[in-house]
Amino acid sequence: LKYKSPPGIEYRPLFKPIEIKKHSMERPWTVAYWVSNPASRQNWDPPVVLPIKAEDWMWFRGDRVEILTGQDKGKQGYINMIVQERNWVTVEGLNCEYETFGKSGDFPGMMMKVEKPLLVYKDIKLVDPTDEKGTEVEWRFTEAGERTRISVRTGTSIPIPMKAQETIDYKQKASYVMNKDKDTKPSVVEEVTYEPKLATFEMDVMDEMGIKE
Amino acid sequence: MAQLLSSIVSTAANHVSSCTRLPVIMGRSLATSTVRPGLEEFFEKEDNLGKTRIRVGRSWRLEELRLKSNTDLHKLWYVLLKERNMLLTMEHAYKEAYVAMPNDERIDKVAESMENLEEVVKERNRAYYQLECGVTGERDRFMRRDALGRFVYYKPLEHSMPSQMNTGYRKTLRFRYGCSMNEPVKDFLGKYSENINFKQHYKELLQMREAARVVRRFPEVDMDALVQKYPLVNPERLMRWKKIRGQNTTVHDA
Repeated sequence: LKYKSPPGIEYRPLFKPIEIKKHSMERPWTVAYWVSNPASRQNWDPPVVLPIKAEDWMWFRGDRVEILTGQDKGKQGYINMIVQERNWVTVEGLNCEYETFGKSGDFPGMMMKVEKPLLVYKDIKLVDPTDEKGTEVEWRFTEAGERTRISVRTGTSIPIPMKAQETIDYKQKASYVMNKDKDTKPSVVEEVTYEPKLATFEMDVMDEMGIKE
Repeated sequence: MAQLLSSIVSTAANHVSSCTRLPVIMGRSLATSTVRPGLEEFFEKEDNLGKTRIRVGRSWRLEELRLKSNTDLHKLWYVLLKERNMLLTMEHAYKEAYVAMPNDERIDKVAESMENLEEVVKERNRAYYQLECGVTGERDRFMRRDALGRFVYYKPLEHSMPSQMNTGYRKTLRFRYGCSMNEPVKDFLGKYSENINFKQHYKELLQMREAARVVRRFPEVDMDALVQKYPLVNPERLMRWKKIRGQNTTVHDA
């Protein structure tokens, strides 16, 4: 929230949200983000990020990747978390550092092993499933017309992993259990009940209900 | 309109319990208790009350709503409205209790469904009016100059007299929508447009500066990606700018 007009009929309703320029490992809808990046600091110069087109983004949760830099160079792991705004990717269990939290007075704090982010265009390479080695990958179209990631060296397609399908409501689309009270069945949704008629919405409803003005 | 509403509510109530091929199955039956008839529908179902996660499907899309008849859409609107009221009541209740509401994106899903529904209904009405009358049937908005010469939206009102006879109303309009274009007004308009252009230029400049930082750091950046991220940037002007010269001494081709 940058500015919100006060309540009252004399004010023109206006709401300006804060534009988030610096993204961190904490997501902006969490409280922790706003503790470390308060509103007063949002106007500072944002970090320089290499722009990658949204349709060319090719790193998804659950992808097997090889790390090229740092302590864990050469090791392979699965992508855990993505911060697309900063071209960051976290690999499960790799590229970690130890951090202490909650140090106060005598209490030394809790030490935790925290995954550090890796840059997508520099520190990461997608792994080819045939020979289990890192390759350059491109977005290409198969003969069927489907757009997939294809490794440049071997030509095999790397499908998007199942973990990437996960949302707040389900882990996989097929495993979603319908809510009996709130959800509509797909067959009912696809059913066509509309018959075009030369009438407005109100006229049609009144005809159906037998209401006469 | 009031007559229409009351008859709709009564017939919709009858329909919900008997009809099985409704778009949304609200399986819960209508009020059975005599003490508080129907008020419990403002609150979450008892099974869902203690949960931290309530999974529901996605919102209705425009393409899906366009398949439905007007009666179905009418019923769906009220079903969505009741759901929205229930969710907003629960939002308030959780706020009072200082507890996080489970799955508050449900409110956004219902709001999106209702917006899409209204859009489909408007489309159908517009089509009828344009075919029969030549106009959309919605309230028009015309651009007119106000007293200071700025272009503002004028929304016409309904009157009992034609405008040729309505001299009193036209007198009030003269001060609101009449521009004399004399010296002070022309001065003001010059300065006003200066102000607008400066603000627009400043917006572009902020983006150009950020884009220049990107080009300095990544000389081989993809121009399409850069323009997608910074839409107000002019790529040709950017590459001629001295600000993009970084630590390396290579000369950038224009």
